[in-house]
Amino acid sequence: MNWMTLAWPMVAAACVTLALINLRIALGDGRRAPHFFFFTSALAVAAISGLELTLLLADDLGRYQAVLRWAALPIGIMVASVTGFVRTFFCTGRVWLALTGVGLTVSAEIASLVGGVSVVRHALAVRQVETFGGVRCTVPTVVGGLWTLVELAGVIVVMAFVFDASLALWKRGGRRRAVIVGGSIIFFFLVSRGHAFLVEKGIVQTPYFVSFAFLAVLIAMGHELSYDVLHAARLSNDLEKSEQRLKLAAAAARLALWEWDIRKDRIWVSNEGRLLYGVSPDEEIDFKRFASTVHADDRVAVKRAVDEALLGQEPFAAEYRVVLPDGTVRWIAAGGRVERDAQARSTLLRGVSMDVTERKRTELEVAHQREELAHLSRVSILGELSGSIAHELNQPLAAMLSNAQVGLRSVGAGQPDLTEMSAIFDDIAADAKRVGGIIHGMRAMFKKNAPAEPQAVDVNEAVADTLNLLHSEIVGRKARVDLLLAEALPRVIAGHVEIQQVLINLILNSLDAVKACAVPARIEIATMRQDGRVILSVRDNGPGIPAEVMPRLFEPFATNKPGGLGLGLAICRRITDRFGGELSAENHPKGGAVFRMVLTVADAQKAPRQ
Amino acid sequence: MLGTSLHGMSATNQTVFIVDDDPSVCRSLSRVVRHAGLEARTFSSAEEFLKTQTAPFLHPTCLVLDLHMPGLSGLELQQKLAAYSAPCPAIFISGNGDIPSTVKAMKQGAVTFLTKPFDNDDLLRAIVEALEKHRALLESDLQVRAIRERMGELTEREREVMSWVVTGALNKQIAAELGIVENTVKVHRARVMEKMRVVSVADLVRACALVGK
Repeated sequence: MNWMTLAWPMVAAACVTLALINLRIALGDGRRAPHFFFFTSALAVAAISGLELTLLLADDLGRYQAVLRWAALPIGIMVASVTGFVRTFFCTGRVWLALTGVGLTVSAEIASLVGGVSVVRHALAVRQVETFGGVRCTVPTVVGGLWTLVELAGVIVVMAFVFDASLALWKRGGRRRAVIVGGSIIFFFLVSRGHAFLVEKGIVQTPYFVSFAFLAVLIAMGHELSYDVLHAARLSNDLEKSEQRLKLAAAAARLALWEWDIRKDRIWVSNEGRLLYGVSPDEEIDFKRFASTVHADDRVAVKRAVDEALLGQEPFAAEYRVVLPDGTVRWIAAGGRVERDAQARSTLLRGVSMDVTERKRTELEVAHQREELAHLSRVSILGELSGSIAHELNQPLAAMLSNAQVGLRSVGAGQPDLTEMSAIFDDIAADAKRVGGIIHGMRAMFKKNAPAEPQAVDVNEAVADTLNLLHSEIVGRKARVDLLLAEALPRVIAGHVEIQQVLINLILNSLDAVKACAVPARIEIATMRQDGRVILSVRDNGPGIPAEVMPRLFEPFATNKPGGLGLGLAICRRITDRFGGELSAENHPKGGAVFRMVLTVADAQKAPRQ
Repeated sequence: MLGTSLHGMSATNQTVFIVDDDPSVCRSLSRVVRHAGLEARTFSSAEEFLKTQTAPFLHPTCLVLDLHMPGLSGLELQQKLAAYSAPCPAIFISGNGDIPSTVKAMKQGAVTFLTKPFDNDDLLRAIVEALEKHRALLESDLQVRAIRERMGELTEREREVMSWVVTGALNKQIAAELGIVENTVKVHRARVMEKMRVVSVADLVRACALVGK
């Protein structure tokens, strides 16, 4: 029993321990390859250590040579494993260099193994030397051959590979790892090789220390590997914390988290989500089950939103109603992202849902109030116009009364002229229709409709109807209206009544503006098609809009008319906005103000003609 | 009843002008007027009326006039007509008569102001009144013109004598005022009566009152 018979087995035991630890990790999840290579290299070093001790204690040449021959096996495995480790752990390095180095080394070792005598390290003689502590050990005198050079070349190429890979890693930012792993591999390989050379040539009288050098390499590799393991452990700890934070945040914000595995058609939902959608905590959910919670009227839209997200690049976003088992209806806003695999197939849709019932209710209330306001403004305009509308109605009524009385008298006189009678009836019918038309138009303006769905509207028709309603007002104010209406104008997305409302506002504003000018009012109403949109413009010959009023023109209560509430233009703009249109104002270079209403052409498929 | 009574009166050359921008009102009103046996002519604007009616009115006529029209309004047309020698009276019709325009129309001599829709009888009554008024106007206009013509034939002295006669002065007083003999006054007076084609001083006074002298 001396330090030699203690040190080598300890090295071997340490290597086996490291090997087993890494085998355990290699069998687990995550990046396994570096651990596997570490495992094989540690085992090889353990074997080398054992063989080395046997060599030191060997007392005859034949036995020495047999052991030396077997040393080729772990050495070959060690070189191959270290190379594999560097390649997989650094994730860089030239593969051809690695393969060449390993190929050369391994083929030399195999040649040694199968050749009967060690062709790489051929011991000519052994001698006993006394080393530290007076311990005696056996050292050989070794000669090399062709295979020795092959092995040497292989190791040099492997070192070149390690150097190259470390350099690459260094450049990529992994400086510490490159130095510790790459540097120690190169350093200790060279040291052990050089020392072995000196021993074999009889220049130094010490035993082989190859396994010690390799142990140092293993420790360097293990240090970095364990660093990764520790890092992963810390990450998983952080992950758990951040998951808890996320859960807390989601719970606080009443966000439901969900994940739809598209291939397996399985949906994971957080507990908040199950509450939100009214699904029991242990029920399995697939897309069909999810769709069954959605309000029947919204299902198609939700399906479409999902399909669009799966097919396109846009994130998923939808607002829909869900019906809880007790019949309660809840508004949900959901958003998410699609994850794709390497072939760009969607694999996962992950997102959040949130209860927006309150917001939706407020929105509906606001929309309702806006409509109410628009309606009030229509009614008040009609109130202002009541005189001229009465005039407008009284014209045909007067004609009807006169015609009817003439007819009655003719019949009463017993000599009715039938041709004249028929002309009288024709006139009465035409006037009655005219009255009907005016009343119909007024009724539409008076009617309180829920926020009307946009329709396909003929702008020219709306202009004509508006002018019918305003005819007496315009005549009464001694104004002249010039029409420049484009022919064959496409229909636009809007509401007939709403266009009339805006137009009445604009025309009355123009009439009021010109009143101050003491010239007869001239209003030009034009329609035209431009860039796939329809423009309706109203221009007057008034003083134009003062510069200081211009920026606030469409704001509520920004009136410069005495007695005006200043809501007219604000409401007009809101109406136009609702149909995706634009309402703007400017002063015409030749004087007067121009208001432009730009409307979107109705798509023939989406909005049927009516 | 009104219609038949109108049929009875000499309806020839009595024209009713209807000015309204609403064609159906024009048509129905002209029908009413024709059925009453009167001649009706319709105009869609005051400008059109002024363009076609330049000659002075020789026969009884009246205007049925809409208050609000594009261009010249009914009131403005009425003002323009007032410059004529015997302007035809206007009946205003309106779908929405406001008090200021009504007052103005009546002040400018409108016969009446009817709010649409109105009864045919109301309109015809107003038309009869208006035609009657115009007939009287035309007649007095005719008389005034005749009297003016006759006055034009008088000499300076005769006109002087006449102005004294109509004040009720005696020949003697006139002679004293003018510084001539009474017999000469008598001769002048007889010439005046002859030239003015009157038989009594009362007639002469009426004639002078008509022309405003």
